[in-house]
This record gives sequence, C-alpha cells and structure tokens, in this order.
Amino acid sequence: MSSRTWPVRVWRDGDVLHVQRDGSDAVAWPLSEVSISPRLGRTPRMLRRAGYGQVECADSALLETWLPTQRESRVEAIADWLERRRTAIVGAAAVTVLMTVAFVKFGVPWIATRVAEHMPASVERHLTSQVVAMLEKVHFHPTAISTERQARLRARFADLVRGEPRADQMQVFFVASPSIGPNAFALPDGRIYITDQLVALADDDDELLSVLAHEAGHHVHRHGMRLAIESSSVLVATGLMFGDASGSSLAVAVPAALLNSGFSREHEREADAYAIGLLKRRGVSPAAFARMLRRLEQDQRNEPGGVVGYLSTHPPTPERIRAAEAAAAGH
Amino acid sequence: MDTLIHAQPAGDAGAPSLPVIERHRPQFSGSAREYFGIWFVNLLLSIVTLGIYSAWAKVRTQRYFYGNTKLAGASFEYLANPIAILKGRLIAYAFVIALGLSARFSIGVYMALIAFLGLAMPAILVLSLRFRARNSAWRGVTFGFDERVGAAYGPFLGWPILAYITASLLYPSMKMRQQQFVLEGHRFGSQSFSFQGTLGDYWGPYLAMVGAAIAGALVLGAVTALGSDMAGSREAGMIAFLVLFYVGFFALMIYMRVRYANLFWDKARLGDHRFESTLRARDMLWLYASNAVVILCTIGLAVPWAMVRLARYRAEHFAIVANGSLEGFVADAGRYTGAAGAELVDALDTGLDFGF
Repeated sequence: MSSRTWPVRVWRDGDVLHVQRDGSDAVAWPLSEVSISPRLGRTPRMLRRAGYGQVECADSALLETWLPTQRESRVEAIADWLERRRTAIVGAAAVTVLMTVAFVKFGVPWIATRVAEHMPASVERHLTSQVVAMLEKVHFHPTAISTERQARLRARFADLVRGEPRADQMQVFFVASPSIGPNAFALPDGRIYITDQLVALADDDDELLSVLAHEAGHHVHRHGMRLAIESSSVLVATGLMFGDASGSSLAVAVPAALLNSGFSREHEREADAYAIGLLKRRGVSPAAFARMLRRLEQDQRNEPGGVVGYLSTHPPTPERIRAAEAAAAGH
Repeated sequence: MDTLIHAQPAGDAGAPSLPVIERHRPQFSGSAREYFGIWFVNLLLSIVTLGIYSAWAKVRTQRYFYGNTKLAGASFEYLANPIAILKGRLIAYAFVIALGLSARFSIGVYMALIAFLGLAMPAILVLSLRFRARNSAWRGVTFGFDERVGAAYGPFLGWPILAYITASLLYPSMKMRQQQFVLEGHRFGSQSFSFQGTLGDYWGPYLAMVGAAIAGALVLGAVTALGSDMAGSREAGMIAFLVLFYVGFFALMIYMRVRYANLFWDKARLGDHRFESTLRARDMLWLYASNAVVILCTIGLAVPWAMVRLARYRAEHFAIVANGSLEGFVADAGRYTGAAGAELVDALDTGLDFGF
C-alpha cells in the first residue's frame, strides 16, 4: 500500500462494490469485506478493504444503504444522530443539568453520610493526627488559660453531651493561636480545639459552651469525614466528566470549590441546629449562641477584608443569629 | 445500480514528470456551528455516563479535526479505537483517584506517587507519541514513532535538570535535543523524518526571549513606580504590577512556543520534502487572549468556536514543500511492535505541541 491516489468511480451491484479507475477495468470489492468510517459532521467517509486500499468520498445517503451501521460503531451512530438535532441536544442538556443538580444536592451528601458511618475509627484517628501535626507546627502555641478554668469548662461540656451519640470520643483542647484567631473546630476523631482568642472574646462560660455544642454537632454528624468524602467525590466526578471538555483545569477547579463550600455551609447549618437543640434540652438558652456569633461577627468586621459570600464555608451570620434567637424566644 | 462519483483532484495518474517543487497548504474545512453540536453532545454524554463516553468524545473530536484537514487532495484520518482509550483512561483515573485520596489521607504515599509520576513522565511521553503516530494516517498510510522508551530520559529528564541548574543557560541545548528526539523518532509509512537543526538555530529565540524579559522587567518597574505615584497608593501599584507581570509572562510563553514550533518544522525533513510553519507570535497572542475572553463571557459555550478558529489559523500557516511527488510513500505494516501499552497513557495527555 502506498500514498498513491487515483480518481475513481464507485458503484454497488448486489453484494459487490465496483471500484473503477479511469481507463481501467472495474475492481470488485465484496461488500462483506469493506468497512466504513462512522459518520461525523461533513467529514469525508473512508471505504476500506484491508490489504487493497481505501476510497475517500463525501458523505452520502447512499452509503448508509450500502453499508448499514456495524455493531462496533453503534455508539458513534447514536452520537451522530444526536449531533444533528438541535432540539434533541437542548432537551438532553436540560435533563443532564437536572440530573447533575439532583446528584450533587442529594446524591453526594447521601453517599458521603453512608460511607462516613462505616469508616473505621482508625481512619478518623489517622486523618486527625496528620492535621494536628501540621497545625502544631504552624499555628498552635501553649494556652494561657488557667487549669481551673479549663477543668470547669471541660466538666460543663461533659455534662452537656452526656448520653449523646459518640460523646465518649469528644475531648476539648485549649490552644493559643494568634494566626487562626478566635475560632473553634472539631476534628474527625472527636478532638475539639478552642483558641485562647475565642475564650477571650466570650463574656461567660455559657457562650463558650454554645460554641462547643456546635463543634460537638460536627462530631456527632461526622462532618469532617463527610466533607473529605464529598469534596473528593466532587473532584473525581468533575475530573471524569470534564477531563477533556475544555482542557482547562480552572474551569473545573472553580465549580468544585464552590460546591465544596456549599457542602460545608450545609454542615454548619446542621451543626447549628444540633447545638441549639442540645442547649435547650440541657437548660442553656440558645441566646448564648446568638451572642457569641454576634461577637464573632463584630470581631471579623474589625479585620480588613471580610468574608466573600459565595465562597464562604459558613452560612451568613445574620441568618445563624436569627435561628438561634428564634429558638431562644421559644424557650 | 447506485453510482457514486469519487472526484479526487490530486493524482498525476502515472504521467512521467520531472521532480517539481510544489507547496501544499492544508485546508481546514471545519465550522464552529457544526462542531458545536459534536462538542456539546460529547459533553452531555460524558456527564451522563460519568466519563465513560469521554473516550468516544476524544475520538470524535480528533476525527473531526483530522477529517476536516485536507492536504494535497486527501484528508487526514484518526484511527484510534475508543475502547483502547477507555481502558487507558480507567487506569489513569484510578491513579488520579489514588493521588487525590492519598493527598488527604497519607502524605507519604502521595509523595511516592508524585515521584513515580515525575520519573515516568519521559516514558509516558514516548508511549503517547507512539499512540498518536500510529493512529494518524494520510492517504491510507499511517505514521509511526519508533524511539525506545529509555531514550527519552536524556532529552526529557536529564537535559531539563541541566537547564535548571545552569539557570536556563542550557535551555537552547535542551530544546534542540528534545525536538531532534521527537522528529527523528517519527516516520510516515517507511520513510523516517530527519532533523537538520544546529545549536546556533536554537539560541536565537532564547536570546530574544531573555532580551524581552529584561526589557519587560524594566518597563514593569517604571510603570509600577509611576502607577503608585499617580494613584498615591501602594496597592494600585501592586495591582498594576501583577497584571502587567502576568500579561508579560503569558506573552513571552506564547512567543517562545511559536518561535520553537516554527523552528521545529523548519528543521524537519521527510525524505526530500520540507515543511513551513509561519505562525506569528502576535497573531497567536491575539487568538489565545481573545479566545480566553470570549470563552469566559460565554461560560464556556464558545470553546468549539475557539478550537475551530485556532485550527484554521494553524492550517493557513503550515505547508509542506514537496520536492517531487507525494505518491511514493509506502505503508510499513511490519513495524507495529512495541506499541502495546501506548493506549494506557493516552489519558494523561502530555500536551506536546508541534504547532500544528
């Protein structure tokens, strides 16, 4: 076979394809030995007979009658059918968007919850120890809070969560961290960290207790593990789906980050609801939680910058304060 | 009896002729409107099938651009089997998932995987060049890439390290060896490509780039100083600095790529045939920048338009200068050895770009 080309005439006669060069006799190609490249836009079709050569020709309705779609190119035939129909494309797009939204909104959190429930405690501990090692190196300093106050808060917290699911794993740690600022967070194995800066910001122990209740909510609902699973699965899914759609990783990274903060906001709402419920059941007014949020908001406002709404990992603070105050009023 | 006329303009059907030099320019006939349907269906089916269809999407995209590129009367063909690509992608995705999970759960494993990937990169490059070459054809004759996997470690691992530790002074040497490796490994049918470059050729673009970088740095410094003076704030100066820095960096990258892509084809020979690549840096800069803006403004829907536009520009600025007939290339059926495994790396798409 070579790159030599000739203009040819091609016609069908029964089960045979005749290929004729100008001034020569026609050559017979049995149809059963001829394969054809699948249709694609207005690109030329290739009629190929292994060992003999190929004929390049414009697409034509005749070709479909000569050589009906073979099994191995059925997928491409379906794609081709769709590609030529604008209304079908629009319909398919609408269905796809709906399916994707439903999957992200309900499917991913559902799967993450199920998987997190079956995650062995050793994985939670391993994950936590890595985060703690990093935080201790960069952000943590020894606390300046007196051991009596620590013990008092720990005892009140133990009373608060007694009998709650996974309460025996919860452990409160105090650390000073100017770089993190007033904050508290729960890690997957049940450790709850609270910074000296937050303790200094609070007016009384009830307010601190309300924050700890919120963090306990994160642990009860396994939010650390769930977020890890949710963001990994979003990353994997977007990689699978858009891996070569545009060749731009930014186009994937930005929506993935937005989705992650969406999951995180959902977790914060869940932890807030848990904290409010727990405080009420143990006779602490949720108004303490509202006061604490207000102080945090005030503190953030004094900082330069502030939180960008859509990228925020937390729901808007006024919304959270309203929820806590409404619960306190009904108390 | 149905009849179908096949009119192929090329072909001096056997008439004896003296070797003549003829310039053949590829014609790209794809249209953004038509490709949009294909691209959008690719996107939808890939989403609905959780990425499985992406193998078919890749094949259809490639076939669209190859099939719409006509050179000397015949179209290019992309012959890859989607199933082969799918298998490769599944393995690559497993690796990527392992990478993502280990980044979260075990930094040690993550570092080991990254190191493995770095060491495997030259091998992956060779395998993907093989895959692409043997699945590309023109007039029924396929291309090939025969270089051994181990041979890529010099130009694509050793030389980059040397260029790095000499603060890029050896960059031209590295670039030459890489282009030579890629070119000499390729063949069309049984005819090998050859490389005619000398080291001197590779210093030109490099020196121009260094000069432009120094000039750019001076302008940048002046503008930043001026900007912060006029606006009376350091922040305005910083923002001006960052914007100009990125624009300048982007422009230099494009400039280098264009110059070296042109050089690559200028130094390439296929038997007695030569090539011409006349891409212009300012055109490419305009194309990339305007494409980026339009794609952003249309939330990605203009991607097909941008791809078609780029392909058309590239076809218009490429030519094969044929010394004699293009009819004599012979398919090389016996040299498919060593292509096994090439499919596995396709998904990692090395993005090697020859400017065409």
